[in-house]
Amino acid sequence: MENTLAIQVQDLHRSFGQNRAVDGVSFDVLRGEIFSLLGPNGAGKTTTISVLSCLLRADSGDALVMGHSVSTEPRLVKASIGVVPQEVALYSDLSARENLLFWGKMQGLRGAPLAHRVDEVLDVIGLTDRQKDRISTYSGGMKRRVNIAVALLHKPALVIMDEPTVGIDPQSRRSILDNVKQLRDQGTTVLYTTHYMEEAQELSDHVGIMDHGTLVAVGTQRELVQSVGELDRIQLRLTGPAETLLDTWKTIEGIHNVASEDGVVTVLAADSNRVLPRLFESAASAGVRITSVDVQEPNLEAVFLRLTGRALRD
Amino acid sequence: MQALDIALKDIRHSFTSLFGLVFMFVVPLLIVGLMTVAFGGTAASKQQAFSVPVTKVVLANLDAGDQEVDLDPSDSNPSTTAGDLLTHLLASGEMKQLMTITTVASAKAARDAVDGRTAEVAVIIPTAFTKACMEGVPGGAVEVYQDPTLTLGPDIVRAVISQFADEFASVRIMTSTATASFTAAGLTPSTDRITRAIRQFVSEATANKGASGSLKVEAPPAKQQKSANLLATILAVNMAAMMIFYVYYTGTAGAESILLEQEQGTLQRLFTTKTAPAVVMQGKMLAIVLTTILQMLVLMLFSALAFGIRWGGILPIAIALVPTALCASAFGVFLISFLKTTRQAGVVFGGVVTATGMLALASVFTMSVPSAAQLGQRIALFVPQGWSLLAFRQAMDGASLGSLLTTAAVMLVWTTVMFVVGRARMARRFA
Ligand SMILES: Nc1ncnc2c1ncn2[C@@H]1O[C@H](COP(=O)(O)OP(=O)(O)OP(=O)(O)O)[C@@H](O)[C@H]1O
Ligand SMILES: [Mg+2]
Repeated sequence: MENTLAIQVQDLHRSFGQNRAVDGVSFDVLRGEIFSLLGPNGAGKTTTISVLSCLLRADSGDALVMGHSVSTEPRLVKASIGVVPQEVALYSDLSARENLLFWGKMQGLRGAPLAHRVDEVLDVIGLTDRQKDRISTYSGGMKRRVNIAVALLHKPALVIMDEPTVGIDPQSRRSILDNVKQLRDQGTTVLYTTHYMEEAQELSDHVGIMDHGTLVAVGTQRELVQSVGELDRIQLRLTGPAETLLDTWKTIEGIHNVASEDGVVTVLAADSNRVLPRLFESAASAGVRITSVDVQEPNLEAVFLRLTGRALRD
Repeated sequence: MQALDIALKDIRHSFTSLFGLVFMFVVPLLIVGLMTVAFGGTAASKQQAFSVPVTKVVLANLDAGDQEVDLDPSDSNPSTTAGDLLTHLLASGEMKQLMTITTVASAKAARDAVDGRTAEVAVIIPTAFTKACMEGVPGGAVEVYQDPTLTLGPDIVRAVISQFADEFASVRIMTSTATASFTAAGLTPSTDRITRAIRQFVSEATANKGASGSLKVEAPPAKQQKSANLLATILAVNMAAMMIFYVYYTGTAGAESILLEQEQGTLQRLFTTKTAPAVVMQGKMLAIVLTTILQMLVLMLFSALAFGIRWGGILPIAIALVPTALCASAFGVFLISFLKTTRQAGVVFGGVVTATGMLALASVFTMSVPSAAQLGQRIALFVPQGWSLLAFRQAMDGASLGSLLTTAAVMLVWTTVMFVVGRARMARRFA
């Protein structure tokens, strides 16, 4: 069992003062899979990852990373992981190549093997022709790609990525997601955090859903969606004073959850055919117009809504 | 190995940042360069050494003389007066270094010249000057009328005149003493003999500068030599002071890079690599120490070439330099350990580094004020910069190795205390 696991997290706790950032989290990550931690801002994803990469000490609990305890064997843990921090952590006055050479040395690489490896990762992230330019002249997406490349230099068995696609253009995002899948295909384990449901959906073998410092659900996507049961996911667009209307909807029989995000209201209901007429009825009496309706299969978003009562991003 | 990689990266950063270069090299050299220009020429070229400006003097000699005192009987002019003597003295060759004399006929003309700014000082020798000098009667004071904005020139003129008056007073006392003793001996004083005695004295007073009791206007070559040496010392001490002031700045800026790396996330990223956190910190420290050493070496070399500053022997300089580099680095780590963000660093630079640096400079400001020098030196020793400066001054003055090593030892104590405290505070932050 043990050597099939890349990460074993056991009842991890970490607080900042009164704020319990990570409050009893346990999960396992299999070797060679992509495991996503999905959760909104402040869920505790970065805190969890910081403990796993030996940057933060846990208040209690422990984690084994590639078989080594983060609390008692940090050196062995660090030697087997590559970490992509949430914020780009590079020297902006150095070029991409100089950054990669420096970080490679920090991982114990030198000389010709280092230079060769730098060439390889530059090719992987597609920045070979810009390698001599200073990082400060790069676009956000290019910086993020170099940020990832740094973590790959020493070919770690486990790569931990913290929201590597935040705030970048679709093209860079596409290339990063492809890189992540490529890594998995080469046998690397990836622990990936995100608050984009679509990314978790596209990449993950297993997903852990985090909220308020706890892991509210873990499993394959199929398992998670099944846990929502036979609920339909109804998405509506409204115009008009919707606030009190949503409260009314929550009381309608057969409706499990109502959440609103970016002008789109998501309703989880046991049977959309029975619920929809009542939604239109109450909207009409509240003076709100429903401009579009979409009934879908449940997804990870629905799982999050079902488990927390909130939309993923609010 | 990784420590060196980190150090090289940091050093490269400091030496490619324009801001860093300006504070490390340009500012201290500029200040000393300005001082050199302000004091007229470099210490290296002693020809152009500091000199007192020449004062423009207008003189009205109204002295009516004294019929009874003919100072120079052999002179064809029967009435040589004390006023003439003073005029002659002020216009003499020796005085040309200090003043140029134009004579006018009346007191008013003299004062008008000063008021009209054609002269800086008016000297008015009163009618009763000779009488006053010879007999000690009142009303013989020479008036020195000056441009109130000037100090040095008029002071020199006044000093020369009072010296002259003193000479005459002693002549008078001597004369009366002689007359009294002749009289007491029942002899009639011979005017001739007394006059001869006076003449001898006066000629000595005006001509022979070496004799005791004569006017003490130093011979110009000796004076220039002395002021050139003084200037060289002042410049050297100031250069050392500027260097130390900014080296401690560099130490703090170097330590600030720890905060900066924390803010840009690279420090945390370093801590996730195979390289041990202790090695990371060693690399950062090494960078600060090497940067300060490089800064001092460049400043010393440049100032030696450009301003002719003599820093002392290699061993004494090394004993002053290495502990200074360590101390400045520890100082930086200590200060920065109290901060959370680089935004707070402005306070440290503007406040603590500058204030402590100024305390060390107290010993330089008070250098030429004998009454305050000791206090200034004592104040300076309350801050590490003061000890560094002391070490460099000792190295420049060729002080004994023992006293230099003592100063170095004190610096190392400062270093240890500041580093241990700073390091402990930092370590707590990155637990
Ligand atoms: N260094 C810290 N000091 C104090 N509080 C912290 C610190 N780091 C995180 N927190 C708090 O812990 C909680 C979890 O933060 P964390 O960064 O782990 O969330 P996250 O899931 O990574 O969020 P995001 O998606 O915004 O990155 C938040 O409430 C945050 O404010
Ligand atoms: Mg985060």
